[in-house]
Amino acid sequence: MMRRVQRAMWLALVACLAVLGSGLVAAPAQAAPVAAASGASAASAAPAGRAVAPALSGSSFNPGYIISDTNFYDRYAMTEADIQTFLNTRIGGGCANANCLAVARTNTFDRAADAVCAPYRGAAAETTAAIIFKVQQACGISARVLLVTLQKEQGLLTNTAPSDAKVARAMGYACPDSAGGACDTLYAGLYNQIYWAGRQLVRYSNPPGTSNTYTWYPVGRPVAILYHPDSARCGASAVTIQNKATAALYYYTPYQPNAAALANLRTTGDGCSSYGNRNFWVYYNDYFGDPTTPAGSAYGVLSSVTGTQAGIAYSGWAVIPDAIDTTVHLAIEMGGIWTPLEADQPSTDAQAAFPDAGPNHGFSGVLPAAAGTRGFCLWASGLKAATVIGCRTVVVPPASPPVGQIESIVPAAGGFTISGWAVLPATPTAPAHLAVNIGPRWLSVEADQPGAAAADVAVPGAGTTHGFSAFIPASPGAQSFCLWASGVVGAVVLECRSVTVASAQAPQVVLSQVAPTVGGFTISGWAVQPGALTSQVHLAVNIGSRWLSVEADQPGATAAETAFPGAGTTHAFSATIPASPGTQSFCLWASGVDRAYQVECRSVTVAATPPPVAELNVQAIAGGFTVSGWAVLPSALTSPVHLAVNLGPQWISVEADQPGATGAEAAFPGAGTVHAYSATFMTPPGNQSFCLWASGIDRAYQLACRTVAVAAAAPPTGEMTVQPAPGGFTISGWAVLPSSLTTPVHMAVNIGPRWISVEADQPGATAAEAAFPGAGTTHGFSALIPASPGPQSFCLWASGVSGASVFACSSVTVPSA
Amino acid sequence: MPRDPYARRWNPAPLIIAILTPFVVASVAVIILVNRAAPVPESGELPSTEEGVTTSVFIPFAEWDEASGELRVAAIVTARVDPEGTCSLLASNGSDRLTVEAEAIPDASTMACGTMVVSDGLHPGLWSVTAAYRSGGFEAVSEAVDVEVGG
Repeated sequence: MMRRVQRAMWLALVACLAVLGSGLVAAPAQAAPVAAASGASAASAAPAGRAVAPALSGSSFNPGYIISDTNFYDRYAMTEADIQTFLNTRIGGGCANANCLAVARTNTFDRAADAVCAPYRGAAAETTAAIIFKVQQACGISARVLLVTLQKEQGLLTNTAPSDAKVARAMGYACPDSAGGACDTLYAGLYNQIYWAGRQLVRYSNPPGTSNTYTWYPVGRPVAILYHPDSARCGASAVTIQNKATAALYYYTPYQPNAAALANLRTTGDGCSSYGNRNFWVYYNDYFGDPTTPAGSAYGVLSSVTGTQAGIAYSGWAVIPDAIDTTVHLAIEMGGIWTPLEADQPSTDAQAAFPDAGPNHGFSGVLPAAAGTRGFCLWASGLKAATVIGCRTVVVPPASPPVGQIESIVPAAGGFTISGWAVLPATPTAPAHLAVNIGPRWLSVEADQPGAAAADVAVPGAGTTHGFSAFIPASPGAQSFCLWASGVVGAVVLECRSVTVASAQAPQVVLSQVAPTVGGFTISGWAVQPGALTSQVHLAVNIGSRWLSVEADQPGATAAETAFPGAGTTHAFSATIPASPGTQSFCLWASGVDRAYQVECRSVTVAATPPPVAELNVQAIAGGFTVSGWAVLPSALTSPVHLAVNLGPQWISVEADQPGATGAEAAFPGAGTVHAYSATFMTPPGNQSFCLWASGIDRAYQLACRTVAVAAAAPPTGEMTVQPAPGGFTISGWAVLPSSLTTPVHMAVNIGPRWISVEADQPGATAAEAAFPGAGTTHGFSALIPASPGPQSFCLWASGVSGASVFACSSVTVPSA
Repeated sequence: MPRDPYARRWNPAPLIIAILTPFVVASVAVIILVNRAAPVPESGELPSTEEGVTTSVFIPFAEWDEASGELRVAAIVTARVDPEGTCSLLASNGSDRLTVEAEAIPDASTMACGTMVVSDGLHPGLWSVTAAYRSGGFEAVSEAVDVEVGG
């Protein structure tokens, strides 16, 4: 179900999600440490420090892992609108000629499908954003990669007036220095360059249906990579390429940056420096963040948009390819109004595009809109930012007003009954929402009852479940009323009528007994509504400012049957009314057909009740404190006492119903010993003040307040070892909570945006028993953490008494399968 | 129709390539993580032109594959894209000289010789391999790389 909110609320929602996300990890700066390049294949546990990402440094460049496969081969990385916005942003002040990528128009032509790319459907005067988007989609190469390549080859993203020559070799594809930078004519021009370069970057992975040609930059074993085209002068060094995407970059530009190029990231190095792959890495970081971490963008399709009398009907689907199980949060923006919705409905289209996605990534609905030409945009929230899925303009036809009729009005004592039918032609099968306006009152009525044949006649196809029938309470005499119906863009009057209402009879109520008790009094009697003999009468006791409901629906009211033959005997009432000691006045009210009637007022003297008595013992423990003792209610010696501890803003219930309270029996003979209580509270260290409350017969009593000095609890302690494994890595070790030795420790691995639960509850942890005698050995943990090939950094968190803390952080290089 | 350089009939020996299994799953619906706490100053255009560019023939790897009994040598020709060209591999050990030729593939910024294979005539010992390239009147030769051929 949708609701409409202002843009500010939507943005606040996004902000809240961000806060929630960081809150979940307790320490945002530690949530996702930037993976430092590391050649270590395994690492032992190391304490985690506060990870603050530094400005980009050449020391972070890993020649074996420049970009992840996920980011590189991401055919859903950017929408066409995203790309256009990105191009506009890069140009900034505006274009100075027609070659400028933000405004350039290029005639493209059809290209047939092959083993690497799906077909490209050409068009006249295509924008650069459209070409990049379509190549991304057709070949499965990220638009981000294409954009960065345009910049690193020719600087086209920031050039407001590029020359024809620069555009002709936009991606530097087949335009060698040996030819003076000129391109093979078959590959020259913006469209050719983007298509062939994008295709070739995918072709290097030798996809199914192609020959196994590209084999000289294999993944997973060392090869020599040059620093510079002049191999004799500048040499090479061994690099172990860790994934297909990084290999593709070397096929395209077979040089790695030397130390001078990395030491001067944004300027020149020395005579043996090359810049292609260095600049790719720098530009990608600048524009899109770390190329080795998941982008987390949402992708979706707005597949159907139709203007209807009810508004704008829409449908489509959305996923986050980097988090395929996640339900995507969407929002429609129209005229400054944001309407949130979820992509959580069944969608076969989403599953066809993303076989790993579950079945529920679709969305559909109707956005209420007035007649006319309406424009809107659909946004999707990714893991890091929201993107536009699409914008549409649609003509909404004028909505026909609701139609309906009052078919009968039957006056009765205390009101009248109306019945009839109503239909909203814009949503003919949905029930119409009606309202009766009588004097200052409005009463809702739903037209959702079956049998309304006239509705289907008036609006063919509407069906017959559009009837309504409702009793409208009203004062005696002539009454006028109007029936309203809600339409698409407001309510309209269906019909106005008059009716004469007969006087209603007051309920007959007999208050047969009022008896004081400890802490209050009891009332009993019976009640009947003349004219509706078998209906139950709703009563209420008014005492001071309080109102307490009482139902006259209990059996045994033989006097009711005697006074009103046919009423039956289920008209009795009986209730205990809590009240303070002393003389109390109260009034009994009864709901009649038309209004409430005051039946009778009485006074009663309530006896004083002694407050509860309790013994309180307090003991500080590491990370909290315990309370214990006993509690007795002198006026109800054998009843258990309900206690509550008030600690800061918290109220924690404690029951005094445990055996062994010999002190209670000694103080109150006859109370017995089942009055003990005991509870433990875990708190932050420092002075903690609390109060003990007890429920008495009439009210709650504050029994005692104390302040206790709480010592800090030691965090979970233990060991962790890490080993790379096919498809990820394994962690193992043990963990113990020093303040609760036998309790298993709950842990979680944080790697990138993922959290994976791990329980330290496995047997055989002899080291745990050795380190903490008495802890036992069931404190081991072992888990396989799935991860992409290449360097991976992660942290293991452990839940302690006062919250979660970092248990250990480590880096590991995951081998290729 | 544009020429597709990948459809050429050049037939390099097959290699077993590692198959990566990119696998990224994020299961927490609402966690938003910021990976880069400190914004990096955005670049204008970075310097990109290498100094003293010279075309050369280079061998990324040369190895003896004991399982197949083959000598495998990959080579590329830097900073040069020709319509066509020929690569040749010379393996020598004393007076023994073995040669293999392959059609070069024009690539984005190089001529690629691919992985050239010598499967006959080898015997155990230290072999010296060089790769050469010629196209029209242009010729270049790589530095020699030694490979130990086993029994």
